[in-house]
Amino acid sequence: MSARLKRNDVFINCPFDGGFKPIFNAIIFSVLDLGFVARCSLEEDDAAEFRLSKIERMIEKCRFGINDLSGVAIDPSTSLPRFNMPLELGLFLGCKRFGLPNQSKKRTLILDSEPYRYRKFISDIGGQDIRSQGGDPERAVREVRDWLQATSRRVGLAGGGEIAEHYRRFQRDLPSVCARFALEPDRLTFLDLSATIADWLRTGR
Amino acid sequence: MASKTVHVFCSQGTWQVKREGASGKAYGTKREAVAAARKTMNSMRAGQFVVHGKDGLIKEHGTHNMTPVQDPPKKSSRASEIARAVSQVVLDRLQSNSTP
Repeated sequence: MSARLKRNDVFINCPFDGGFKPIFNAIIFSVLDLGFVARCSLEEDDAAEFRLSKIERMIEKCRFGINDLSGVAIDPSTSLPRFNMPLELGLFLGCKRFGLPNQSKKRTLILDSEPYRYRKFISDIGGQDIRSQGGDPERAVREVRDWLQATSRRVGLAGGGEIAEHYRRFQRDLPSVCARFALEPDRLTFLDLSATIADWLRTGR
Repeated sequence: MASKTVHVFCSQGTWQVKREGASGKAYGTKREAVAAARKTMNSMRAGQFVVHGKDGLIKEHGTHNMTPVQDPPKKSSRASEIARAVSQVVLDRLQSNSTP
């Protein structure tokens, strides 16, 4: 591994389907409002490349990682849990531990739906920054803000309440924006959503 | 409370400078309007200004004590379409609040 660590890039490792989308969107919004760059495996559309290779390449470049484990639950159709999120968290932690010296600067936040739930399925991660978002997007916004401010030590960042207020206003405008190009807000791709949030932040804050 | 964004846009042949939730002012030229918007932004504790082009795209943007937004690493294929839509929705709301 030899890629340069990008100091503004935040790798987002979250479930992004169905009921998890509000938390996913809130995390992306918060990262962008704070002046960082949200990276996610969904931004790659090169089907010829193995999915894991894309994720590895992206993790290698990101200084920060936000990992939401709330999607780890038994899938009724298979009676098995989905384990992509813990796998990607493991890759991030492994890259930090075993990568080139610059990779030791990596920092990661772990979010879950309930406090201490992780102890039932991945207790070895104790000692990391683990917070609960309680299934509430605005709480996720505040947790992401406080963690990014503390770990990056940047000054002058907006407060959690202010970002949450921006997010409420963005959500109010999103249906009107999507209606102008005949799309449902829930069907925006990651790249479209990132572009929409970035443009809104430049004009709507 | 007025928003932190100072908008510059053309309406009915004049250049308007306006913040959401505050009264605005009209200027004869774009240059005067942009200078006034910068001055307003710099008088705020934290703020930003944005110049909306006649084509609906953002032509100029600046911040004062406010974190600048980074561009996504990969551009959406619909980036221009999205920028126009966002700009128009925000301007519609701005203009429906009150006239400058």
